[in-house]
Amino acid sequence: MLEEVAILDSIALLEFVTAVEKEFGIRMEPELLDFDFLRDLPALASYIEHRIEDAGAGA
Amino acid sequence: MRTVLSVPAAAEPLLTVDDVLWFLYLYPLRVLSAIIPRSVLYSFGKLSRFRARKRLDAAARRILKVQCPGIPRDQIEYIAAQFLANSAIRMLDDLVVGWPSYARRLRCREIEGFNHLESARSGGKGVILLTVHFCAIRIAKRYLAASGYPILTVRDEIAEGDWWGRVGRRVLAPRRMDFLQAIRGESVNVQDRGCVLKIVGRLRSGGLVNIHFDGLAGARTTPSTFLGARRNFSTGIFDIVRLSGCAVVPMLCVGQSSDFRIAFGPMLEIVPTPGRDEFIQANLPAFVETMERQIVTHPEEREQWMSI
Repeated sequence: MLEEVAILDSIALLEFVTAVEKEFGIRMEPELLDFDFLRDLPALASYIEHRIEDAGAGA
Repeated sequence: MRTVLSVPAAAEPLLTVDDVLWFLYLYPLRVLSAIIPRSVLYSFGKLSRFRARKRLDAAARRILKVQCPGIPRDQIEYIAAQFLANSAIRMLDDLVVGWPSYARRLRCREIEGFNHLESARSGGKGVILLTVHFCAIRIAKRYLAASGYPILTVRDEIAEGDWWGRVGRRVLAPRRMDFLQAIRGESVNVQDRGCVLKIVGRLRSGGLVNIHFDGLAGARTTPSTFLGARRNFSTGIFDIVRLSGCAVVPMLCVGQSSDFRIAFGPMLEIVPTPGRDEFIQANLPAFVETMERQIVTHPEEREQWMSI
């Protein structure tokens, strides 16, 4: 879980999301900007993988 | 041996004056608000001003003198009286918006600068409606929501209140909480861990978010002079603007539910900078100046005087 590796306040979470989006060249859907989703790092990694695969298949 | 001394807590009274007033407000007055004309409803506000009038008047005058040097001294008494009247009317207007049919009862005289709002929305990155705590903000937001412009409000958690007697705490406090939750409309508490994510989610959907700039400061703050006094402002709004790229539009609302006016100002010109601190320092003055102008122009509308 995210809170086990870092103490993040609300703004830090947004900075984390922005950094992830920038790093992987994706933009997360508004409905996924949810603390419970973001704190689950394996689920987040899986989501990013899917987004990268989808972008690759579409290219 | 360690001795622990315990001081008995002061016994809570069975019933307080505030219990009685909240009972009258939440039950008979609320029912009456659905059926009596607004002019009659507002007359109850005049009655309430007699309670603690001296204390409130004195506080209002003191605050206006200390914090608002831009306001002529000879108008302070008038402003203090108006501010008290507006605060009472705001509570009565809360009764009006508490009914499901509230939209039919809100009378907006005019909306100025709607083109500024539409222009900001056309950017597609959402809009922060920047306001200060004015008495008519809530009715304006409910009116806009009913007109197809839903607004997510960012605000503090509702305080439980320390004025209750035993009866009030048991019976009326939960009822008051339900009532206040219902009239707030769509909102997110700054104390929620996912608060900023909810705000940005709404902005990314192209939606509207209302932030009171003169609210209590958050965990990360920056100092600035505001109305002649030094105070801290939460930097959260600047982080959101910087990271989301949303537009910021000042919104002013004055009046009462039977006759109010909404005015949108031109979009604030956001100065882009490479770093976080530079961004705050570059943009803070415009935010402060815009909000100060609203307060100095309409000091009697600012409900925040009361809670300072």
